[in-house]
Amino acid sequence: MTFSPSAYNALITKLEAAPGEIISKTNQVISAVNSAVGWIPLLGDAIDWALNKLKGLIESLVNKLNQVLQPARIPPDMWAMGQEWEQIRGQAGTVASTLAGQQEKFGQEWGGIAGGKYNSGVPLQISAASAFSSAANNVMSNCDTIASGGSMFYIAVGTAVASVIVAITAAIISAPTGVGPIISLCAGVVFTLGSIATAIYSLHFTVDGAARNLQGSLTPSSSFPGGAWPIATAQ
Amino acid sequence: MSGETKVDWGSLPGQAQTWSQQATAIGNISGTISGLQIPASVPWFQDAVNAYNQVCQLYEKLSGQGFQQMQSIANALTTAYQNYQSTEQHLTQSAGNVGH
Repeated sequence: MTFSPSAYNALITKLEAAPGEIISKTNQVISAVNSAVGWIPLLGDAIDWALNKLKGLIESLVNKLNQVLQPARIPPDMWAMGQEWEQIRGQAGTVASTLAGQQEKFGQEWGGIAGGKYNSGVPLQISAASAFSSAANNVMSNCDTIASGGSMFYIAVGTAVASVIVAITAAIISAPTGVGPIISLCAGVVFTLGSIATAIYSLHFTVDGAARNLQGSLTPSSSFPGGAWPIATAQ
Repeated sequence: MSGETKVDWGSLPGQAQTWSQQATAIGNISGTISGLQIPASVPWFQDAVNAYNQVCQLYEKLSGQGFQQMQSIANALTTAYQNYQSTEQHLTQSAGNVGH
C-alpha cells in the first residue's frame, strides 16, 4: 500500500473531529428522547436506563478514540523516515560502486607490499558500504511497513467511526419512538468498539513484525567485524 | 621479489581524491542519520520506534567510523604520493649535483 500523506492527514482531521461530533449528536438523541417520551411513567424509567447505558458506551468510545489518536503522527513520521533511508540506501550504494570501480581500475596497478595492503583493505570497505546500503534498504522497508500498517489502522477506525456517526444521526429521528432504537444504537456502539479492538490487534501484528525486523538490523552483518566498520589496512 | 613495491604513483592523487569524496559521502550519511530518530512515547508503536531509534544510533556510529576509515585511506595515499614526490625531487637534485 502506498502511503499518501495528504489522504492520511485528511483522515486524521476527520477522526480528531469525531469525538466532538459523536458527543454533540448523542446529546441531541438524549434531548429528543427525553422531550418525547421521558415523561411517560414506567417507560420513562426504561428510557433512563437505556440512555445511561448509551452514555457509558459513548464515553468509552470517545475515550478510545482519544487514545487511538495519540500516536497518529507516527505513521507519517515513519513514512518520511523511510524516504530518508531510501536516499541513504542509494548514497551508500553509490559509494560501494564507486570504490568497486576504483579497485577494478587501479587494483592491478598496485604490487608488492603496498599493493597487498591496498588490495586487502579496499574490498572490506566496499563490502561494508554495500552491506550498509542493504541495511538501509531493510530500515526503509520496515519504516514503510509501519507507515502503511498505521494508515490501514486509522482507515479501519475511520470506517467504524463513520458508521456509528451515521447510526447516531439516524437515532436523533428514531429514538423518540421508544427504547428499541436506543438499544440498537448501543449495540452499534459496542460493535464499533469491537471493530476498533480488532484494528488495534491487526496493528499490533504488523508493528511487532516490523519491530522484530528492525531489531534484526541491530546485529550487523559479517561485513562489520565486531560490529564496527572494517579497519582500513592501508592506513 | 616479495618486498618489491610497485605502484602507479601518478594515479595516487586521483585515487586519494576518490577515497576522500566517498569518505565525505559516508560522513554525510552519518550526519543525516543523526537527525532521523523519532522521539516518541506512544501506545502500540513503542517497540517499533525503540528498535528504529536503536538502528539509527548503530548506523550513525558505523557510518561515522566509515568516514574515518576511508579518510585515513585517502590520507595514506596522499602521504605516499607526497613522499614519492619528495624522494624523486631529492634524487633529481642529487643527480644534478653529481653532474656538476
